[in-house]
Amino acid sequence: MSPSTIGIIGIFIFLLLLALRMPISYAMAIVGFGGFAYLTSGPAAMDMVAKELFSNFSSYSLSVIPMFVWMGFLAYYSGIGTRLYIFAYRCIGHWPGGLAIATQTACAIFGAICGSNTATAATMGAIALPEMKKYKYDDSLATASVAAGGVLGVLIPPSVIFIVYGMATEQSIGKLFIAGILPGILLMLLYQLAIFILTKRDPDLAPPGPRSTWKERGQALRGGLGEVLIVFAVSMGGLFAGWFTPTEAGAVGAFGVLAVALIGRSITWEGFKKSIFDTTRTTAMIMLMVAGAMMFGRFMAVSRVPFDVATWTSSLALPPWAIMGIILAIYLVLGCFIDALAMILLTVPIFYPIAVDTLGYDPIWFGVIIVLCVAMGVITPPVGMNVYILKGIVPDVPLEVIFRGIWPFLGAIVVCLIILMLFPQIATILPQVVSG
Amino acid sequence: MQKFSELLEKATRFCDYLAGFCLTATMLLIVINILLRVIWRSPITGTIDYVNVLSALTIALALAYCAVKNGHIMIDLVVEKWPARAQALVDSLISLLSLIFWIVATWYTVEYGITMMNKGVLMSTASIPVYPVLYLIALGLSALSVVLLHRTIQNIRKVFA
Repeated sequence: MSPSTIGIIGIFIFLLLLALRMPISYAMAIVGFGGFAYLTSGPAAMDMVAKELFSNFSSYSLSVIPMFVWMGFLAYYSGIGTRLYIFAYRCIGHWPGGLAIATQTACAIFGAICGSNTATAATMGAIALPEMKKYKYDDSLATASVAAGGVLGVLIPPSVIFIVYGMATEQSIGKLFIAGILPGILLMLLYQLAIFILTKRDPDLAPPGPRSTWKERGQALRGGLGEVLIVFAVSMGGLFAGWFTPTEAGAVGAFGVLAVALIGRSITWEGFKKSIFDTTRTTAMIMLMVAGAMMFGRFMAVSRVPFDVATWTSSLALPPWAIMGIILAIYLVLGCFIDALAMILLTVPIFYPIAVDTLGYDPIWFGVIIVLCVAMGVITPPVGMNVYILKGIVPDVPLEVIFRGIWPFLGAIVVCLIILMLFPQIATILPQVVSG
Repeated sequence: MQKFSELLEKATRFCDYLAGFCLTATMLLIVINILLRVIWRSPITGTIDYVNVLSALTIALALAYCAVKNGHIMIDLVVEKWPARAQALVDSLISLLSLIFWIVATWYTVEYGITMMNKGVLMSTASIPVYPVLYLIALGLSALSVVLLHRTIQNIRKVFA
């Protein structure tokens, strides 16, 4: 059998192990080890496993991940998200659909200090859903708007998925972060437009909330927004200005959120401990997945599957945009079943050379497109993680009701993807400006 | 078995506490290093190496408790619809396969550590030996293996229950 055939058999065995509910990281490591051993030798594979575990666990560039994860959990447990929501809600809560629109604004701003879509959705769900219920919002719109809002946390820096993409492709994390800002704002506006259109067609879906006074709005402004601006300016500002490495920016961000929370007395000892243990658990999960993906990637490299796929793709008599369309379609289908992070780790080594080296697309732009694509997976059935988180917050709302409300937001993401395909400058202009 | 489960949870939780300590130390080390660099222009020599060591410890020590809490992501779409005994059989085989792999990985991480020790390999700037980090990673992997062994036994028991 040729190495490529072994590679394809390996991919099928990997999918079989996933279907038999083996953790994704274990499945990648086991198939990577087995395939590498078959194509090279047993001792070489054993050597590879030990070296990959050591090099990934003790990597300075990967140590950025726990720092930004902790920053997000600290923000979550210190209630900054709650204060952000109150600010957005007091500004626009009195519009029809205003509470759902305010949720998108709060998700986008919270995304500036939290790199996780699940933490963003959980934070906003806990505060926004009771308010929307109070004002008799349709369950489907209320829950789906929060689940979809979580995607903004992935696009707006910091973002763990951007970090992993940057590691896998050796692209600048700072550039990727800054590239996500405008697409993140665009997606927020598209979500808000979707809510506006829905409530225009059926005002009963989302009745107006109470109107706040300017004094109340001023008070809310000093709360969450001020805290986020300080932390974002110091952490991300330092990264964009080239003062900090990404790991330093993450550590400064985590320290900043902790300092702000301690000064404002908004975090308890229990909350602080929870933030640490949620971070260690999430870090262990992510880093084992990264190490497993590296082993799987080594197997794929010796099997020459990515090379053969790239050669085959370049031989197709199709325009670049059509090939890109096929790649995106594959991502959208896979995203329904596979975790976003695992998908980036598994597919980027195959599709990145095609998109960037063969078709000539900008690597930063491709990163934004891919991150947006895989982020869709967190709200699509059957395994949309954010939807399950929302279901945990409001157990009385059936899953199908939440998924039904997701469609307009999925439509907004598809429109965002099309706009980014037509106008790639939206993603590339800020990195170009910053790097001069 | 119940006592062993409780003991395992306590032991892995203790490792997780140590991981949390390493995480906090990493953050503080980086922030202090920045302050020293900016204010006194005298950063801590070898900060990158210390961060690498602390990161490795954070991850290795948290692996087992993450497994105890089912934190390693899996996809449950097919097997959940099967009868309970068939599910237990599949889970037994999957956890056994995982156990074998992580025992092998632990063993070769220790061997890699022995090689590094014999060669006297040091980290580039902090000049501290590499091998203790490998032994600690192996310790984390062996704790993960114990969790998987416990899970395999539990799953096999369910098959014959």
